[in-house]
Amino acid sequence: MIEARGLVKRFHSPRTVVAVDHVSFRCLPGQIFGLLGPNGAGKTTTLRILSTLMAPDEGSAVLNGYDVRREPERVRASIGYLSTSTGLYGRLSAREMILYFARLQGVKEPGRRVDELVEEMGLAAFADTRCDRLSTGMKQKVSIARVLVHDPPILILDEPTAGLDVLVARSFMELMERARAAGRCVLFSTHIMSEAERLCDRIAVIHRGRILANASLEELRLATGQHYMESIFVHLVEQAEKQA
Amino acid sequence: MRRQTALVFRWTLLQQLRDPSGLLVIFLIPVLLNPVALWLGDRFQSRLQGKDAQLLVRVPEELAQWILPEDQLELVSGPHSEDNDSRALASVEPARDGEPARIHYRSIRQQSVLAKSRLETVLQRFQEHEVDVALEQAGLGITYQQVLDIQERDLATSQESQAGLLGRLLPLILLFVVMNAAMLSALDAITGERERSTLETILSSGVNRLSLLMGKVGVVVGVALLSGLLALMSLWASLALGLYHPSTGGLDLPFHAIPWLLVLFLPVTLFLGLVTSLVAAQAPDFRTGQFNIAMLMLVVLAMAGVSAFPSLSLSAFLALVPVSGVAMAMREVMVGHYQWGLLALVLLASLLHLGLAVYLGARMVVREDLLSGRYSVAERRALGRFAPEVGGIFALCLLANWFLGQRVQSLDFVWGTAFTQVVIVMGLALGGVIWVGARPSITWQLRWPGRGDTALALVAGLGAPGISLLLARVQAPLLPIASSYREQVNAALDLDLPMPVLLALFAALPALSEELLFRGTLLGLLRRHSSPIKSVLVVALLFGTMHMQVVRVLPTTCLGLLLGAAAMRGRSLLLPMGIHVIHNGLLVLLGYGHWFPDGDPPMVLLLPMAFLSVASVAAMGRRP
Amino acid sequence: MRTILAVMGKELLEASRDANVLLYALGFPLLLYPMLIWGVVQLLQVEAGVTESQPSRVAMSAPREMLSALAEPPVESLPGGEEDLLADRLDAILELVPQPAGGLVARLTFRSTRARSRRARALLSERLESWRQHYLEDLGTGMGRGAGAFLPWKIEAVDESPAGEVATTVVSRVLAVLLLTVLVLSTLYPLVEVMVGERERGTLETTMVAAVPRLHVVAGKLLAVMLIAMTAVLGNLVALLATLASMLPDLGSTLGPLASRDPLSLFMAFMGLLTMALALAGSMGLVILPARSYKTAQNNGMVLGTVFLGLSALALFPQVEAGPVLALVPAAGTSLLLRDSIAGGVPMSLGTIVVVTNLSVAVVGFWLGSRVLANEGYLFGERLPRWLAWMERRRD
Repeated sequence: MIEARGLVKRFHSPRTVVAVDHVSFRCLPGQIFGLLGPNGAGKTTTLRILSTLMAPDEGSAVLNGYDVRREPERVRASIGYLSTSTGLYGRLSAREMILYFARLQGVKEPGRRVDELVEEMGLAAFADTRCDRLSTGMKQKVSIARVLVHDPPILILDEPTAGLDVLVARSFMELMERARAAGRCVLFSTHIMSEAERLCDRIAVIHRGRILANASLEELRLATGQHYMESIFVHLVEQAEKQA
Repeated sequence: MRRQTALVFRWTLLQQLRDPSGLLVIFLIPVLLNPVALWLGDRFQSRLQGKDAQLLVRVPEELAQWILPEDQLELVSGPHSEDNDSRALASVEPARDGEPARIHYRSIRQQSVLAKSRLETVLQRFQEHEVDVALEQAGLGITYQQVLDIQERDLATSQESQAGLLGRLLPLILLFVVMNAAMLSALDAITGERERSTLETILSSGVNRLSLLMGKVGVVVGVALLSGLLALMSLWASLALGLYHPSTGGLDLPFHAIPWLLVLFLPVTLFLGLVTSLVAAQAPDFRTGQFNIAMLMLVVLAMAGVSAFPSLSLSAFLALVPVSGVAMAMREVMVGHYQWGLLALVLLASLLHLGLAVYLGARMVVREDLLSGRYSVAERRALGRFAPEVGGIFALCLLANWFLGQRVQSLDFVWGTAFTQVVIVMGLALGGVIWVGARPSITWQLRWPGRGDTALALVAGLGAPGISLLLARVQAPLLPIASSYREQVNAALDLDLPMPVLLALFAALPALSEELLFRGTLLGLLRRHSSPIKSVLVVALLFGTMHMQVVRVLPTTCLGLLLGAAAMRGRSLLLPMGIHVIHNGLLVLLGYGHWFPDGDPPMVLLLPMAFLSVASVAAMGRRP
Repeated sequence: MRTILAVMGKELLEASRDANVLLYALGFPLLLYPMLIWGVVQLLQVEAGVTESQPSRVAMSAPREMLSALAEPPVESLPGGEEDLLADRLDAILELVPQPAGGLVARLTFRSTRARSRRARALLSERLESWRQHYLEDLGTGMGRGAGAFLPWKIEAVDESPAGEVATTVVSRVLAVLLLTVLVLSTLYPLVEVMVGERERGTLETTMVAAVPRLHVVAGKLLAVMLIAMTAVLGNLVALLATLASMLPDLGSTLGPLASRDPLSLFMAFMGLLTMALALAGSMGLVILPARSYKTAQNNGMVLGTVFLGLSALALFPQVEAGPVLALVPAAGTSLLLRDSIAGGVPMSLGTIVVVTNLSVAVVGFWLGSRVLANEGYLFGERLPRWLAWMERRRD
């Protein structure tokens, strides 16, 4: 599980900006947790803090029982992280790409694990093609396989469906559902309301680094009196602006 | 159009000026390179030359008194011993009846070499004295010196000598700076722009392609020019500030040389900036651009390096070589050696190279793939664009000749030559066609020529030696043939072999194999897409280059033009083959038979032969 | 160790699929060396032809009996004076003035900044010397004292350097500098690729989230770069030897002494080269890592590379002898070690200092590199740590 407590991150150049402002939330195993917010709201920074790529200025986060500050390597061993860019090596084949990460993550019997994944994700047709010759959809599949290669209990996905067509995006959502069914803890960020609506067990609405609401869809509907996610979101943001 | 070019120029320049690290390399290096190098050279000059050190030597006693303080030699006592003396840098073994005096030293140690040359001075002094004593005893009243007192006087001032030393390095420094600036600028403005895919945006904005490229090339050339000028100025300033005090006197950039340096520098910088831009524009991505330009830079620096060799001088041939001619001319100008004819030739050649680069650049701009990426190999081949393959086959041919052919020929000349012709050249001709998947009979034009063309080819072949011999004679003032080379060629023909073997080896085989490769495979592939004139010209140039001798380039290239024209006009490979066999055969007979008193036929004979040959090829291909 | 190997293996696999690297490391040297040597041979041949076609123009005044001997071709006797020499119409002026007391004074005027004049001077000095020898011989014979009576003895310089070493000293100087130049250039470009390239494509972020120590990632990448650079060095060496072998059939006898070198010394040279490759990767990695783009990386690398090239060029000067102080200077020490171990031999102590210096540079580079890599400012282009901030101003 993921537990974030009072995370703060400031950027100083060119002038000081609080990118993440006292963010706290909790995401349990078997749950899909959505971080919903417009561009520049602080989603990516939050995810980077959780994946130990950045250190928080204040607050702490515990993933799978390990603290991001004190045991970053253990944290990294228990998460699968997908950044906004697909991040594939153009001159490696899909299979080599996955194998490389299996070795990096210290997977036992990496060869077998890769074969399994290739089978499971339906990559067999293009497993030996160089990554720079794959289509966007194929690339995305390979990245997912890479994320899953060490069977992590936690998945952190940064806008996984951005820029994908409907079919590929759909396969992503199926993946997340399967992960939930397997008892993984899935944290993902998005700015697409319908995705959050459909998938998330809990949704945190984040705006200007602050979490405006953190609840299930039903609770949000009750609290705001709106039905659609989009109107809930607009309502929350307007309220926050008014208070400020 | 002009407005657009100016616009592109201004914005590209602005972008480059906003990049601090680029500025650092483009402008700081030229400004700092000269003072730092001069200052270091000044500080370490005497240490590097090791001139001040007292050197330990071992000499016999009779010689010891002849060592003067200014010799800077110190003595180690004891006789010379065979085992390696660890303390003395050199030792003298005195002359004994008939045996010469020996100085023992070790050439791998610089100090030992220095000690040896100092000991030589001492020995000479001693011996002159001995001879003087002998002469006096004989009552001749003359000393060794007086027999012939050689007094040398050098009209070159020390200033000039120093300028000569500087002139050896200056072109290298200057061209390094220019290439460095052009490289960074071109990578950023041209290759980088494609990589960042901002190029597409500009292209779709309705800017004229030519003005786009011209604006960008303008920035590259401008930055290179500026960088080079800064280097020149910093050199002048650091010399004026006295950062370098050679022991032999002052050093200044000679005032008279400056305008000439600028005049020489300008076209070559424009040329290099343009070539760098073209290479950058060819690269599909930043990395490839980086690699290609780095290789270009190495080649350019190697060519500029000729000025560093004191034994080379500016010749008409060197004046025509792109970068080398300018580098050599700069060196000559630095010492005030103005060979007006050669300088004019250098300038003319520079302008010619520049013009050629501009022409090629303009041709490239019209090509669609230049800015938007390249064709894939399959696409290119389907379109019949085989230029890269032609280059590849030719490069392979050169390499195989160099590494394999030369080796085999040095083992056994006759069989080695035959091997080169049959295995390497013919092998590549066949292999090349198979590699690109073309049909040999069509590519090679294997068909019987018409009867009229056959007769014309016979005439052309008989006249062809006129062309090559005439050109060899015309170029002789520019490219005199060294006697060593002439002897080498004569030795090859003076093999103790019967005439038929010589004819087969030097006439039949080369004609067969070279025609198969050049007029068959290479021309066959090139003419699919390029115009006939261009294909024939390119193949002829390759043919001339393949003979690997500078003095043979012009005659063989022109012969290549004739053969190519015959192949294209007569539509049969057998025509150039025939001409080639007859041409080579006649030359062999000429060398063998010693028909003419001074070796070559007279001009009166050569001119009509050449004319006849050209005319009969021109008459080919006329269908009744 | 396992992860270092994984990173290294992946980088090597990627490099081997990059046509540029192959072309640069193997194809280019195979073309460059024959071209260079061919060019030089052709130039010399043309130069010889030009020299032959240019007689030495000398204004001579001498006793008649000497004139004929001195004015043999390629010397051509012309009228003229100093102003003609200054105007390049003459190459030298020789005046032989008989002295009242007997003997001659030879005044030879030339101009050392002109190649033709230098040639004329060398030719004339040689002829004058030989005339003096003949005169003294004749004098001795004429007086019945024997030809050698008034001749100084010949001086013979005996080179006690072991046979064949003389050829290898020249080779060693050029080779040492050449190999290091190749090493520097072929470290720079692959390094930019594995560091900056990875960051630009966004793959670095994913690697960093894997449970791998930063040091292992850096070490794996730098080791791969080192192997690529060493391959390029070997490729160049092979191309150079092949070129030489194709030109000189008796290459074996020229380079023979190399084979008979103390194997320990050659091993030291190899170790020097190997550790230098590591040190180069480490130190250049440090200036390339923080770069935000290919361009900056190349600029930074170029500057450091130029410094290293300048230092290694010291081996070109035979006067510079390897000592403990120079051995402590990274590129200079290695290039001197290479030169001296090819030319003769080096003391073990010196080789050890060079190897240890290189290794410590490498270790420091690797460690600092891992610090950079762990820095979030570096990863996401926000802010560099203060000790690296000088590298880069803010982007526009």
